[in-house]
Amino acid sequence: MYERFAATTLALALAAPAFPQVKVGMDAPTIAVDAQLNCPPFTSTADLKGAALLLEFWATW
Amino acid sequence: MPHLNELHEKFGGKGLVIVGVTSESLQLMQPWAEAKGAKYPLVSDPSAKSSEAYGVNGIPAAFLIDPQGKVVWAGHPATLTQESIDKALVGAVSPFGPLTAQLAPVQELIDKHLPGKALALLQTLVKGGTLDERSQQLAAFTTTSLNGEAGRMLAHARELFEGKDVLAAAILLHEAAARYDGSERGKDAQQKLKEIAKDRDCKREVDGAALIAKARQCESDKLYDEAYALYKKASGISHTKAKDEADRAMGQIEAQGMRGFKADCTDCTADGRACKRHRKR
Repeated sequence: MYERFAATTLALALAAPAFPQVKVGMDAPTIAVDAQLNCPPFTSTADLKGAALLLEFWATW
Repeated sequence: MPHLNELHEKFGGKGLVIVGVTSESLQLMQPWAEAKGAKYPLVSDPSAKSSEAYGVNGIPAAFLIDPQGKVVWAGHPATLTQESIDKALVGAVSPFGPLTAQLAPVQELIDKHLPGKALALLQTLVKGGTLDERSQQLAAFTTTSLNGEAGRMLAHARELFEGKDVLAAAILLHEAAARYDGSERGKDAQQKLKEIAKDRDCKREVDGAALIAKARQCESDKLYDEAYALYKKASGISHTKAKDEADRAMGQIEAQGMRGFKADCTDCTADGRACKRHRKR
């Protein structure tokens, strides 16, 4: 497990952006959702059709 | 984060959905949200697939997406401007409506522009404990949006009052008191009006503002003669800004030929103003 983690970290460090940073003007990738709070249930951001969306990536720490 | 609560209250009703995405578990997320009082939707994605899809390499990171699904802004959430939000909101609608069958009476009140009564009913329904899970969530969401709208009106009135525009502040407060009648925010508006009216000069403006607010409601209901009569009353409160505003509004109704307009007369409605038969001068 630790080895895998280390290898991934190394790969990330060497290969620079492993995933493309989504930029202005691009189509927004949809996100599948299984656990949520503070809103009526939805299973994917595609369910929020018609709304403007502000996605914020955050952590409790 | 308080910033996001603010955006949620301000723009939630206008079709902006804020989604906070974390790779942490729901078990970690829930107590955090309760402790911080986060009111906007939060999503837990332990697979971290979503941050991969967006190529997030540092948090917090935010993306603003328009109703067509295009990314229109990306950056640190604190640097997001109102201008960007306004642009993204063009054509946006709230995705969580219409309300469920259990909340249909609430929807009816909202459609009738009686958000205060809607808030009161929501409170009763939630307390009654008979709502199903989805209705409960929708009720909470709708309550936040409606309270947010009322809060915006009250905040704007405060700004106007601090800018010494007593009349405009009082008109807005009267409108808020009427719209949110039956709810806490309606009481807040009433209370603020009372406070303003303690000053004798301000009281005259507040009285005029009550008539003007009613008159404007009549105008939007196409009851021009009733509106005109109310403006005329306000015009009798001499040496006030309310009188000036009432005189201006009466002049406008006259100039547009709306005096005598009958909503049930086909000639009036065809002309979009009082027809020859009904026109008053």
